Order: sequence, then structure tokens, then C-alpha cells
Amino acid sequence: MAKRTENTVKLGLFITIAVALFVAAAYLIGSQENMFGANLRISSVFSNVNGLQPGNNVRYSGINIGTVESITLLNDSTVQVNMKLDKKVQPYIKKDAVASIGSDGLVGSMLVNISPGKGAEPMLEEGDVITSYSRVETEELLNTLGKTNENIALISNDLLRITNYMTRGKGTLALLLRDTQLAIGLREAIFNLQATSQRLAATGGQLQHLIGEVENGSGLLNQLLYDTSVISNLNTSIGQIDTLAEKAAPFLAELQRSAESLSASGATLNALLEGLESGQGTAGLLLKDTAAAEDIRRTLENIEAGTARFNENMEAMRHNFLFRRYFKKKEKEGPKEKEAP
Amino acid sequence: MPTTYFQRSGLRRYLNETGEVWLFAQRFFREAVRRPFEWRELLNQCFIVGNQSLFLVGMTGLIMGLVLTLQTRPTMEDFGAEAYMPAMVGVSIIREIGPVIVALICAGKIGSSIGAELGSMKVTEQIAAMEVSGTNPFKYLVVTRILATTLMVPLLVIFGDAVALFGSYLVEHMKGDVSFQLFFNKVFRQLSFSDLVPATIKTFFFGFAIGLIGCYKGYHSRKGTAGVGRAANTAVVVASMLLFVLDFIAVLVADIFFDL
Repeated sequence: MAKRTENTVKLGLFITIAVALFVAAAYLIGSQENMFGANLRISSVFSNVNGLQPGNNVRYSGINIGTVESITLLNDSTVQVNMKLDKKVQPYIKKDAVASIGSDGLVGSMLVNISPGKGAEPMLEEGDVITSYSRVETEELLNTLGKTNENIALISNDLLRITNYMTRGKGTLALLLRDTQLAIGLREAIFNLQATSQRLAATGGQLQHLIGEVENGSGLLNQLLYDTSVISNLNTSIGQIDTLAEKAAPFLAELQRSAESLSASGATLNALLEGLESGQGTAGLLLKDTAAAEDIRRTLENIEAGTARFNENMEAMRHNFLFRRYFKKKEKEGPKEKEAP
Repeated sequence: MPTTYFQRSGLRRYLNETGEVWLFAQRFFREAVRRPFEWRELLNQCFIVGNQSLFLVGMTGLIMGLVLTLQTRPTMEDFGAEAYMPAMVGVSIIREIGPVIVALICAGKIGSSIGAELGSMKVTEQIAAMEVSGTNPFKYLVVTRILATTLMVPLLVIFGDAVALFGSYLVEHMKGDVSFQLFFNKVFRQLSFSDLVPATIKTFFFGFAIGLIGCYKGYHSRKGTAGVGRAANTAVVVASMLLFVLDFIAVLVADIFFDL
């Protein structure tokens, strides 16, 4: 009987240990799936979940903080992912956290990554819907690659055609490859180009030098470019010129008028001169009538001859006794007047 | 009545046997829920089935874990995925290899012992003697044994799984310098209830099948010492085959309900 009891005890021990192991395994699995302990349920809406499944991990800053509880289709283009998080992480996740779908390594299972937000928001609450960020999907990537491949095929076709042309000696490129004369010409052209560019470079250096001088020197250009006071001076000058022009305007009008009257006087003068030219009037006669001029000359000669004789007469009169006294008296008075002052 | 080809053929024998086993199972369920219950004998049988198979299951499980890891590791290293070793070994042991290997070991050890024991009792007419003495031999012998295997095999599987995982850990620790905590963390991160629950449920069916076939073969063994040997032998063979059939069905059903 004692042996039987002992056996029963052993059996009890066996059963207890086995059940304990099972419970431990269940708990460990359950804790991975967050079945025990307090939970925080949140959700996020995606357009594509890339094969995410209920039970997949949810990570925050790389730490497993929960699992995907369920995935439901909201409509034809949006999928809602409901997540069950450990309540303990609640204070650390803010309302502006962003969920994205990633995978655990290259071949690992899918998971939801929650990235921290900017930080100023209040902490997450039960039932909150956080924003999602869709990464580039593999299919899209493959589509793009497919397009690239097609393009590459087209390009390679074109290349093939070009190389065919070239080997057959058609087109400019083929000519370039085969024509040695052209090559020599091309080389010369390149040499020339080189020389030109060297000169250009030198010119560039000079230009640079010039620009440096303009920049650093104190010439007019420099002042124009850099001296701001020049601009203001220029402005004032222009203003003064403006006022001057305003003031000059009436004067100019006056000048105009004078010119007009001058022109009228000119016309009159013209008419007068024409009259003179044609010999009308006394002046005209004087100028034009040669006979009259001859008369006047003879008259003047006569006058000259008359005055000469008059002078002789006067000399004769001086020596006449009647007038001699008068002239002597006049000669005496002359020197006295000179000594007096 | 002249025997036809059909009556002598293996197919007819198979169908006949299947029908007999079905009736035997029906009788088990009828007797199992009917008072009085043979608690003491049940506990005794549990001890024999459970405790006395523990060492065998433990050894098998440990070596299973060691070998599975050693064999798989080089391939995983080729892919540069040795980090996935614990997860992979964990899943394969918990889901499939643990239950099946342990159940096969039990079929070999327990199924044969039940078949031989009941067969010899049948041959020595102890069963008939029990009927005469007023004890229900089916209840005392069959019901307790089938219940014992049904209850104990799942527990043995859990032990086997645990030891196998430990064996796997030993290899991982030796080859990859993986810590105990990291190893089991990785194992259980990969596991979910959809792995554990169907695998555990099917072990009850495994245990039931082992007990049922062992008892049936022993209870219906033919006369003579050859009959006893044959009963023990066929009990193991049929139970083992049935295990694989059940395993297949279990996986199909689990696939539907647990969305593996």
C-alpha cells in the first residue's frame, strides 16, 4: 500500500510539473501576444499593410511593445490596423506618433513600427487613431524596375543600331572613326580651340584684374558701383537740373520771341539793302552812281586846293603889320602859362 | 458457408477490424461515463504510463533536440540565418516533431505493454475469470488504460518538448554562444497560440489512439503465446500508423480553425 501511495505522489509530481510547463509556455507565448496584463488599444489606417497579420509585433523605438490585434478593411482603399500595446508604454507615446509597416530583417515577418512624434503633444489614450506613413512598397519598386528595364532594352536597341551604322561607315560618327583627313582637321581645330581658350583665359585674367581694380580702386566705376553717396549726389544733381530747366523755360520763350522779332528786323534790313543795291534814294545814289562819286572827289580836291591857298593867305596876313602885334602878344602869353603851375 | 475471395482478402479483414475498433471505442465511452469509476486503478495506470515512460521520453526528447539543431544548423549558417535557429527549432518541435516522436515512443512502449498485458490476461483467461467474479473487466482494464494514455501522453509530450528545446539550447549555446534567456526569448517570440493549442489538442487523440489500439489488440488476442506476441506487435504497428493518420487530420483541421 505504501508503495502505491508513493507511486501516486510521483504521478502527482509528474502531472504538476507537466502542467506547470504547459502553463509557463502558454504564459510566455501569451506575454508575447500581450494577452495578460493591462493593455492599451490604438489603431492606425493604412492603404496597404504589406501582408501584416494579427499577432505581428508592434515596435516603438525598436522595442516590442505589443501586437497587432486585428486588421479590418474600412473601404476599398483603406485598412485599419488595431494594435494592442502594453499599458506601461503609454506615457512615452504621444498623440503625434507615426505608425509605419516594416519587416523584421530581410526575410523576417512584418511588423508595425511606431516612431516618436515631435514630443509636445499629450500622451496617447485608449482608442486613439495615430497617423500612418506608407513606405515604398515592394510591388511599386518592382514596377519601377520593370519600367527601367524596358527603357534599358530600348536604349540598347538604339545603341545596337548606332553601332551597326558606324561599322558600316554611315553617318558622321562613322566618318569620324574612319576619315583620317577629318581627324587631322579636327585635331587642328582642337588646337586652335585650345589656343583660343588660352587667350580667352588670359583675357579672363585681365578682366579679373580689371574687376579687382574696379572693386578695390577708387575710380569712377568703383564709386558708381560701390559708393552709395554718389547715387544720392547724382539724384540731387538731377533734381537741380530739373528745377533749372523749369526756370529756364520762360527765358527760352523770351529768347524765341526775340529771335522772331530779330528775324522780322532782318527781313526789313534785307528790303533796305535791296533798295540800296538797286540805287534808289541818296544812299543808293552815293553807293552806286559813279558819276556822282567823281563829282564828290573833284569837289573834295577843290576844297583841298582852296584850304591850301587859304593857309598861304593866312601866313601872309600874319606878317601883315596890321595883325603882327596880335600874334606877338599871343606868343608871349603861351610860355607864361607853362611856367605858372 | 463457402468463403469468398472477399471474405479472405485483406480489405475485408481491414474493414472488419475497423468496425470492431469503432464498436470497441463506443463501448469505452459508454463504460467510461458509467459508475462506479475505478479511480485507484486509473491512478495506477497513469503512474505506469506517465512516470515510467518519463525517462525514455526525456532521453528521446533531448537527443531529438540535439540532433535536430546539429543537423539544421549548417544549412541555416549557409543562409546566414543562424539567428533564426531557436525560432525554427522551437516551431518544429512544438508543432510537429515533439508530439509525433513522443507519441511514437509511447506507442512502442505503452501500446506494446498494454497489448501484451491484456493479451496474456486474455490467453490465461483472467478476463473471463473477472467476468465470473462480478468485476467488469472492460471497465477495470480497458477504460482505465485508455483514459490513462489519453491523459498522460499530452503531459509526456510537454515534457518531451521541454527537454528537446533544452537539448537544442545546449547545441546553440555550444556552437553559437546563445544565452539561455535569448534562446527561449527567440523561441517564444516566434511561437503563438496557434502553434501550441492544436499541437496539444492532437496529443490527446494520440494518447487515446495508443490506448485504444493497445487495449483492443490485447482484449481480442488469439489463443496461445503467439497470440500475445502478435497482439503486442500489431498494437504498436497499428497505433503508429494511426498516429500519422491522426496527425495528418489534425494538421488539416488546425489549418482550417487556426489559420496556420
